[in-house]
Amino acid sequence: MSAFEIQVRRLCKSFGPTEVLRGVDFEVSLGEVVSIIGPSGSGKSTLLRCLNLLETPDAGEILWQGELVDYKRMSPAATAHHRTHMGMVFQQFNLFPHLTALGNVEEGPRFVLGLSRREARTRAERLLERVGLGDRGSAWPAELSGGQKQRVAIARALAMEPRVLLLDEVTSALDVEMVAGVNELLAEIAREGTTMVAVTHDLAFARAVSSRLCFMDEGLLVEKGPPDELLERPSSARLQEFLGAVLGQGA
Amino acid sequence: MGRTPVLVQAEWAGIQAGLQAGKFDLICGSMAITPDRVQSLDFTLPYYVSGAQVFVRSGRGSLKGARVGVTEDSTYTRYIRDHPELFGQARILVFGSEAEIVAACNTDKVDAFVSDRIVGGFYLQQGRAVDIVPRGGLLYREACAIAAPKGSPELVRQVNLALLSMVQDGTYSELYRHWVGQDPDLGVLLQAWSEHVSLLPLDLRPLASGRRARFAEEVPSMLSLLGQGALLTLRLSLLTALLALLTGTLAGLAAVSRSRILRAAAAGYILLVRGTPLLVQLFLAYFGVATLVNHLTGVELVGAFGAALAALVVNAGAYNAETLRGAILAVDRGQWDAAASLGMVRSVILRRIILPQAFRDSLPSLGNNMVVLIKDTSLVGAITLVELTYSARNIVFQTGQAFLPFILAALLYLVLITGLSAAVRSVELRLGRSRGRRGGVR
Repeated sequence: MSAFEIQVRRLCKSFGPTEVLRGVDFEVSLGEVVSIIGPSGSGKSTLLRCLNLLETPDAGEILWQGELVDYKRMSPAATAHHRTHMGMVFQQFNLFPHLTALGNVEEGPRFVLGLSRREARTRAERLLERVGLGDRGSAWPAELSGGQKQRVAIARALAMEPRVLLLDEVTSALDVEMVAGVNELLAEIAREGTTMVAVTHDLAFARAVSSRLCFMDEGLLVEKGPPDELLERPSSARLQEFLGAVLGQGA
Repeated sequence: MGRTPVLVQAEWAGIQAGLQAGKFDLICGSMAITPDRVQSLDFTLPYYVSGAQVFVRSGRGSLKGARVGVTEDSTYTRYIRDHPELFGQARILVFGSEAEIVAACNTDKVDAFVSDRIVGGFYLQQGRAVDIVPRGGLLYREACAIAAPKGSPELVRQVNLALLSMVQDGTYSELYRHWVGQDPDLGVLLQAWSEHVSLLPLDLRPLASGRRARFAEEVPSMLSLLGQGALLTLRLSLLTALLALLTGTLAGLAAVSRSRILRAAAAGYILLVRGTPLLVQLFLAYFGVATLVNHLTGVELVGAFGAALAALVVNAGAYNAETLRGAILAVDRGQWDAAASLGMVRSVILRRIILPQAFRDSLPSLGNNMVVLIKDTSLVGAITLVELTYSARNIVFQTGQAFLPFILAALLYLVLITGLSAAVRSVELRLGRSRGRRGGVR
């Protein structure tokens, strides 16, 4: 029995001639919050999308709670079931524009978990309350601000009661004044013991919330460790360069 | 006559109107001299004498309750209606030409038809009519003549002189033998000349003015006739719109399916339908598919309405499929990601997430397809359905008035289309709320 929720070994993925993942080893334990940082195009998002099989890897192993995931031969139904263990929140929110905020949150419980309309409604109301939007349930996505949209998206992911939450640069598309609120919400959810994997450009968030930090560059996981250690004493030249560029830009 | 003729091919339906409008000078088209026509046209001496002949599928007994084919604006329609002792409960089906009637008879769509003896005999002689025989003698005799606009005695005189000289020098007999395949009975022709001598315009007669009814009296009666046609148009349009939406959705889904076979089938369907004219599709449905189905089932399962409905649904369905295919592909990739990440399988994603957005986004185009469809129903007159346009044409045949019926028909179309467009628009506005806008673009 492995203690890991997810473990990947030597994961490879190419898009045409471009090798995006070149043998990545990565793991997440129960209750952990892992942040993945790195320059654009380093393969962070692709790694995340391979975890819930939104992308099918070319080679390498994925283990879910110690069990090998046979992603090449899985039926569509088994793939879909695998995804229910992992909630995902996207940079561009990807709310369903034809459904209200409540409708967005109810959708998964009703049409995947098979909850009754009333059960799903109760759950959705509770979760919207939780993300601070208890009064906006009947609003359409087009009527919400960016921060509000992302809160609905987080509630939508949580409604499936996933084992792991995958966050793909969830504050990158937000106006600056919205970022803090969403980060605070995520920190709260993390403190409650939710396992999370966050791809992020926000080093402050990574430092404050993560139990572990991974640095990716050119399709490889270059360095990993406790956030303070990695950010203050980067051992690889690539990470030093990256931090120099990011922090220099911020100053 | 010392003139070179220029041939103008005109629809029988509008041929009198065309003559009166000066589009051509003479009509030479087996037009029988009738008291009605004499009111509005000048006729030359008859150039041949023929008559109405009943043709039946061999083995057919009584004509009562039979399906009888006639051409548009023929005097036969009236004759059939006026002689119930012969044609009791006969269903009259109106076709565009004798050729189509013969085709309909060959494919068991009519049991009998009434036609000019010479014209109908021409098809029998050509072997194009299968198992069709003339029944009985002539219903009545008709003298066919060349028609000129009212009040053109000089033109008529010149034609008469030319005809006379052709009969004298044997040219007439020669032509008759060539085209009809037998010698003309000149005695009958001369007899007809003497009967119709009174019709010759010896003096300039003023335009017949008495038959022009007042505008205000004509409109209501025309509207009631047009209304019946409009009802058929509406019924056909609504049924087609509904079924075409279903067909379009299924074909659109097939077009974006993961199965290569389904994709190819959808592409082939769309290509075939968009690459052929609707009129051809209507004829194929009526003369081909309907005939085959009726033959296989042994009952008259598919009539003209069924054939028209099928052709229109197949046609409009292809356009809807193409519209929906585009709309499905245009839905943001992130929607698929988000739905899949919730654990939805493809069919649920399509049904719950993608199709609702695709429908919402393509409503203006689907509405547009529907408007095109309503106007396309004007073609089904070609397979004997009296819809709005056809009703208007019928009124033109009966009254000789070309303008008013078409203006009224145009207005009725406008009402139908505006009404249905408004319905689509209201759905659009209702769904528009989820886009955060009403009407205009923000």
